[in-house]
Amino acid sequence: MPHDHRSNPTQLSRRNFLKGLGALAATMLPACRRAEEFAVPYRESPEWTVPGEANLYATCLPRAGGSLPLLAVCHEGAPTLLQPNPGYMGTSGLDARAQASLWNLYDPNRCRRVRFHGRDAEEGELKGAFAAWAQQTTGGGRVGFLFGPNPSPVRDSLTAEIARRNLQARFYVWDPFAPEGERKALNSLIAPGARPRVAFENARIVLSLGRDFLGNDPVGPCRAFAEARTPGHESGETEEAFLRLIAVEESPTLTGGMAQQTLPCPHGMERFLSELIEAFRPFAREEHTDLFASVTPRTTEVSPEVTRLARELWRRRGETLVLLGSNYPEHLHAAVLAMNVLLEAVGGPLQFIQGEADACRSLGELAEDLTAGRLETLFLFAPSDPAAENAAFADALRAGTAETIRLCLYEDQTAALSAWSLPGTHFLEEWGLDRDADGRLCLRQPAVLPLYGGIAELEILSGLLSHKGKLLTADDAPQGLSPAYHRVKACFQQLTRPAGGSTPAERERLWESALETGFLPETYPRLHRLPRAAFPPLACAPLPDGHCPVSFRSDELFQTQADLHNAWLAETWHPLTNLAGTPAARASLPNLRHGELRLLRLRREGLPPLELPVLGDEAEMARGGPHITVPLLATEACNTFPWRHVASIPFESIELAPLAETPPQRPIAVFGEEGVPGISTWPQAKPKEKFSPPSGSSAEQWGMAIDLNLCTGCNACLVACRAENNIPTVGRAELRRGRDIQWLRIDRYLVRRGERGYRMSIPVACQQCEAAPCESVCPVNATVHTSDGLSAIVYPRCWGTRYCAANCPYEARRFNFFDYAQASQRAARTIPNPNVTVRSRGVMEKCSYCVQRINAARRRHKSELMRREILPSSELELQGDELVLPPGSVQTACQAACPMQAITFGNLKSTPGSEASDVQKAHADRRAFRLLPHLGTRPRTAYLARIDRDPSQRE
Amino acid sequence: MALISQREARFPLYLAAALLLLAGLGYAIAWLSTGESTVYAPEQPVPFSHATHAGRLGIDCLACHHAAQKSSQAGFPDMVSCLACHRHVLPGDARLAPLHASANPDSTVYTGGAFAWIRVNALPGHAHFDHAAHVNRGVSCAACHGDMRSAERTASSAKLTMASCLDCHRKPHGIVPLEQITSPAPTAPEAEALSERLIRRWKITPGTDCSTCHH
Repeated sequence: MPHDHRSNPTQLSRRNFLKGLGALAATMLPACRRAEEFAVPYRESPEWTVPGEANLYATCLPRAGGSLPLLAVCHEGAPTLLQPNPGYMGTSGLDARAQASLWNLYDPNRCRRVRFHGRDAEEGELKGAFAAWAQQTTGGGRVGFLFGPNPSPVRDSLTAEIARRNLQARFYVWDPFAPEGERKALNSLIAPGARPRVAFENARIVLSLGRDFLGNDPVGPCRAFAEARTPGHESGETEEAFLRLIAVEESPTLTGGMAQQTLPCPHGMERFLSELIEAFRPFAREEHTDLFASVTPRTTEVSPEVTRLARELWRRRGETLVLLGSNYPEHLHAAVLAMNVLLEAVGGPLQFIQGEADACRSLGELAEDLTAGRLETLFLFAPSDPAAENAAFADALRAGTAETIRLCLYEDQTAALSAWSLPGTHFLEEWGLDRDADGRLCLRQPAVLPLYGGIAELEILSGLLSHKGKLLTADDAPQGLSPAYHRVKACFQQLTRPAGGSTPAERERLWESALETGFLPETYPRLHRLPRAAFPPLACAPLPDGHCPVSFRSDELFQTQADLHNAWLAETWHPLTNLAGTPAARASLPNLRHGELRLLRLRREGLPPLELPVLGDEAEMARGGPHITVPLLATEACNTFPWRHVASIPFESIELAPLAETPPQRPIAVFGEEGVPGISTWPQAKPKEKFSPPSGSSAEQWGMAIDLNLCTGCNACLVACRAENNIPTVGRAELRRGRDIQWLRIDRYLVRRGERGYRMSIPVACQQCEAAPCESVCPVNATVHTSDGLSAIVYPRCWGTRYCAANCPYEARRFNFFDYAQASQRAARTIPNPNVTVRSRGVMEKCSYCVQRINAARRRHKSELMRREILPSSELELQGDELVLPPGSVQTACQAACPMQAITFGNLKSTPGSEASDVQKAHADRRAFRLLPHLGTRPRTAYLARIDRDPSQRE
Repeated sequence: MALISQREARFPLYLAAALLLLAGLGYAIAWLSTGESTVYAPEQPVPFSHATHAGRLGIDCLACHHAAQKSSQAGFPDMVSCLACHRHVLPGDARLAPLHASANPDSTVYTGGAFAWIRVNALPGHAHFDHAAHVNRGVSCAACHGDMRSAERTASSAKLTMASCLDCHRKPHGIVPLEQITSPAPTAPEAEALSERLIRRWKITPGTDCSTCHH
């Protein structure tokens, strides 16, 4: 058939083509005009502001058990990063949840409006209602207040004032993860308000009975644990000199994954404890008869493993310590206290401090009071979601007649059941005065005014107490100084009265210096008394036949509503399941393979059905048999809180169904001991690898070392890297396609030893190879080596061939497939770090060793050198190595954030005559090795091997 | 079997020609917009004159751009600093109305709205320039910005190109003692010798790695 071009409209004639071209040119020409940009100066420059420089504000994150001081890094008034407060000794680093909380500040989906019975309240409606509440509060009305668990002296001072003026007022507190058993045991056996603190530097053996003290259940700074566990860089020390962690866990935790030795407890913790107590009986001396008075000798056999453990603990008493998970019941805590007394741990590794005793009532009492109609007005301030977490309270809220006022960051179930819901402030928007876990006073100062019209808890309390009963928030207070500020300052000066100086000027100075440092050094006093402990009789009811034990534990990433909304946490790979954005149970069941994902359905009479994804996990075998761990969570799809006291379920009621949607998942590979490179055993005779000195012309040759003996895989580095380097979120669908753009990834392994094993986490970012395979294949020279040994990317040169990523043996390069940066900034309204390029679509990106921090440090160092003398500058002469950055002047974001301080970074080139820096020592360490050394890429990142036990010492 | 018609065979040719044309056009525009032949000097909301302030009145650069020695940015003065003088100098001048509107609550035109200069010197997002790193090592303001003392209307500097940056980073020149940072670029013949000496004494070896500016 002949082909007629003229009749075919889809064919392009020359004339039409030229027409189109003309139109195209016409539309493109205006685009050649220079786009107008604006420079908007401050009307009045805020104090201390230097344009282009970050301002750091010391503030603190409210937490149960003790608030967490940190620094908010603000660029032009907007917080861009949360980093650890360097002067603070209570913790080191900053965990992933704390850092990611920054994202919630900007989240446009936060509560923004005052709502009344499900509709937006009208102008003036709240004002009228508030005046009535104030009238009730100060005029003898039956008001109640439900607070969160963070210890806050300024709130206490306000509630004391309310209580003074209104004898009817009642105060309640709610912490969904409260360590009730531990608290009760300490209250009754030591003193009300006593708290344990661990001095890891005094301990050589720590027996952790389900205590996640490196994660959700801290008892003291991790830094001390890290130091006690790490051998020096020289050889010659023996295993005995270092802290050994022995874990017995029903449900595996991050801490248990770090243990050098694990023991099973197939019949539960109570049974294990009773066996251990029995195993200690032969060592008991005369002075210990009281301890053993109420336990009758057991008739059953004590397993040889437990006997050996008891013998070893006893042999090294005085430097051993037993820790029990804080969620275990009171009598088990009493038993462990007695064990610590027996092992002479109290006063050495285990210390007690005198905290404040609980003065508030519990949520259970609140539910009763509501049902009995003892309250007219109830303020719900608790930051968690009490109605979702406690069914009895939710019922009472539904049935009760009290007018309820909910203050929340996100609309939750409690808000839905309350008459009023008010938008709350993020912690970076409010004033506060808290105590940390050790009792130090921590100031919370706002980094920004409320972005979405939030109201602070203190502003409400202060408004209720005010003369006219008027609510005054930071937004409408004079100079943006909220009444909470005046309350906090007054309370601070009240509390520091004797030490704070006598004159107003001295007190003002103390206030200002505390605002600068963020906390005061004074801690709670030590308690020097021995617990009145004795081993209680333990009931060892066996597990019912055909039942599978279940544990309900707080999750590592998702605990509150704010965490569940948080996009940074949603794109963080869970440290235990390696899933992203999916709270999931973990289980070892006969019909579930390791790494397999199914939908877990549990049913039980009287409880709502439980349905959530479950991951087959070999680590769950730690207990010594089948086991399921379920995270305690209240999401829309599933609420696990009503189930929290269930200890076991019949196997036949466990239903595994296929999942409707596969969540983004990364594997957790299981290895025998041979398979993983990063393990060395005591005694380590010969070095693993000898590194050649760094090549490169510059006097600074950057390198990094990551100690795998310390890395728990907690994800703190990941979130820090995301915030510092403007790494966008990509969304769940893209994550599932493997397009995660995180520069740093953590490879997770289980290392099997016999029936049990431990976790290995290997953080892998760009290794900055000296002979980088990625550089040689780039057709446009977009990735080049710098003179100080970095493999740099020039974004504007990159045109996205992705050859480099294909040639990188470490898979450290990430490709920006779509305009993720714009999309995620539009969605979340986060503010980028101005010192790092926001990458556009179609470029490759990867870790740069935080080169922007290196450049800034260089500029600071050289500026200081140039300005140190006042002679005419032309006479100044800089000597030899003066221009080289001194050790410690650059910290990468991941390094600063690491709670275990596993990462060291610095110059690998030694200056003659000076002492070797930390990173140089680490690179010369006998445990140092590099990833895939046989490829000859000569990476600048070295890893220090995990230390396993000497095989001859193992049982 | 269908034969390829002549027109179909020519299509790639058209396309290639069109692309070449477009590329040529683009190159020409790029050359024109970055070359020294164009100067960007938009009309500002307030006709601020560097010639008056820095030239005739002799106000030091650092008096207004005070962050230049401390920060990556030189910074703009805040409106209150402008008003500190202009409350008394030319208080009723109509040209200053936007200033009063933004920051002078006593004025009749006060609105409290933000004031915005039109940015004249802007680097693309992937290039990072650090003022303090240069100013503290003897690179004068005039070295990049030219002689602002005679600029009636603020114009973009022709030197803000990568070629010009690299020119100096590869072979540093024009270094002046820190005391003369804000002075006009020296013209005396001995200035170059002094610059050579300062480069040696201060060990000025600017980086030419990509990551020096692109990160």
